Amino acid sequence: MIDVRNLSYSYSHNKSYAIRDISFEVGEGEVFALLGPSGAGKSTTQGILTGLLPIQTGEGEVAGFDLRHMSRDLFNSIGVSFEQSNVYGKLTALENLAFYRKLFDVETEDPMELLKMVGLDHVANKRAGDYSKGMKHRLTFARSMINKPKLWFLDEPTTGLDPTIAGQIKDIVLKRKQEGTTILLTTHNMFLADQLSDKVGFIVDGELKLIDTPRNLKLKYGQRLVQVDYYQDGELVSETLSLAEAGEKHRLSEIVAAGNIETMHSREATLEEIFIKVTGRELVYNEAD
Amino acid sequence: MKLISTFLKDLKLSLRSYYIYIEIIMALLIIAVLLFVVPDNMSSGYRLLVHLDIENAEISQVVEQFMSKNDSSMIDEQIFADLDISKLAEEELEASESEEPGVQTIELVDSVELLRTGMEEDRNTVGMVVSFNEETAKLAMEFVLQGYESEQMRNLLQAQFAAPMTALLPGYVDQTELTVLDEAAEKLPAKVNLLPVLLLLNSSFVGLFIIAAYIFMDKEEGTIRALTVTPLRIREYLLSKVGIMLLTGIVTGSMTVLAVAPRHVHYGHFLVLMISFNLFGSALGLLIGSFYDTLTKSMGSLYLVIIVLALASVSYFMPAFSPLVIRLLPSYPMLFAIRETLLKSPDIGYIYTWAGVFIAIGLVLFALAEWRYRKTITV
Repeated sequence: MIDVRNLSYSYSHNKSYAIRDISFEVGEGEVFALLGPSGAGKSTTQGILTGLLPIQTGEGEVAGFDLRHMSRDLFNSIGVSFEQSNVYGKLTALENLAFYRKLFDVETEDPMELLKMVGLDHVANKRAGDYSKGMKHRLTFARSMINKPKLWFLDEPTTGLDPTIAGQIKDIVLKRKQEGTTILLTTHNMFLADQLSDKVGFIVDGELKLIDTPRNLKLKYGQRLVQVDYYQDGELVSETLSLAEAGEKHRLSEIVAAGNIETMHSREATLEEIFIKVTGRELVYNEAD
Repeated sequence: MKLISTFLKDLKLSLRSYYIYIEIIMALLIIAVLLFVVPDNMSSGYRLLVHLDIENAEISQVVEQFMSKNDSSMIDEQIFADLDISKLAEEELEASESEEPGVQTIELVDSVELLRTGMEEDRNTVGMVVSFNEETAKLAMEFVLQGYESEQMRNLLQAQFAAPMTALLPGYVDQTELTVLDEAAEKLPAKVNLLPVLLLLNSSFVGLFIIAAYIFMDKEEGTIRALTVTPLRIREYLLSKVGIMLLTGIVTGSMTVLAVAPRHVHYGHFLVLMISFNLFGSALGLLIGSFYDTLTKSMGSLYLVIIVLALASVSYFMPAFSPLVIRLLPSYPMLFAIRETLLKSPDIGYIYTWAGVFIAIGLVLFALAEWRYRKTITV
């Protein structure tokens, strides 16, 4: 569904690249997460793929359309949920969606159904300008589904939402994934990426450092750990032990044999830990990114 | 279909924002000023104070009656039959009520001192001292001016009084030949004559003022990015804005002519010109706006263009001053084309030639603007 090779982009049209030599593929029905800190080049990459930015160097195809000869028909197949809400503040939520659905040449969703899906049906006739930031974000997210996209671009879809709403958004994405929608997710949220993605790509300073499945990354870069809480001389003690180290494996056997365990959990390395290990950078989130 | 949907959406947004109401309020203000402030006829003439330094009572009476603008019947044709001044006095009376520049009111004063005092009190006044030489039987006129009068004004004063007064004297033979270039030349009432300038700035060039503001509003709200990832074409997006400007221009323009000159305007021709000039103004506004990323940054250029285009109104009101640089401004033929639609016998060829020219230029500017926005709209 997406196949790009050697993409580079410079906003100032010089050698100061926002992204440099990026190549990746996303198969039909896959969820690919582009992970990186602020200013890493996630939004620039998505901008090129959605036609918001002109391709400068490299080549590629999106949903069967050549990026160098992009047709407006491409937009019947894709949906884009922006990180920054961008709806008409002077129109109601229903008017916003009713207008956008008329711009597509393909079958569209019922606006009211979409509003129900994101929990905005009770304020459907309220002007979007009077919405809270989170509500506007949900409306932007709902709008991206109006044309039943085959390829769905999601830029920080849960940012700024409370946990309950973020959970609902995640469930909608999972449902679409099961229905076969291809998704390109750009986020700094490793937990979300871990839960939703088939593949992840780490992007730092405009360069794609690696691409793999979350499972492979954990196997390759993570350590298998066990966290055990037990009583010793009447006091609760907590230890994290590696299953890869012979000494620590023996220590775990001793604790288990003593029989004073209160809780014991296996623990894998998180994507965030792996990201730091691979790139040497932390995922600090900046809303302006 | 997409264009219609976008136009209806833009119309809804316009009605819920204040720009369109500013235009309507401006049109209402123009109507109020033209109806209640501007007189039907405006005078740009001078007040003339005259002192008659003539001892000969008969001549003094002739000249005094010639100067009288109030009642030409006062002239005693029995005494001055050979001078035939009654016709001249009537012409003078007509001139005093016209809008032409020159002397509009005449007042007699008893001394040169009073004449000078009167001139000092009213700087829109000129003075004239008339004397009679008994030996040569000739009238002599001395004009007293404020000092700022133009050469044309000085000549006009001489023409207005010197020749007619000379004609009062026996033996005068008039060899003046009068040729009129346009026998059908029509004079509009002052308030109607003001309409072309106001219509051009408020209704025809509404797009020049506002269309960029609409685009920047979409940019700020981010909705332009959302639209560019739909099948809607940039051309349709821009055309929708042009449509809103056109509708606003036609509504405000029609309101104004209906209120101020309902029986003067030829509605069909007027509508064609509004469409043509509005398209030109909107396309120019779009093109200028495409070089900037915020409304504030674009204001300087838009303001400059509007001021330059408005310069044509100087030549419109003073046809004698129409240098090439002003005649080359697009607004110059626009003003005179709008004026034609207000005349009883409009020059159809002139109206439709310029309507066609500005539609063509508007389309070219629109194509350039579209090309610019393709490259810059989301960057």
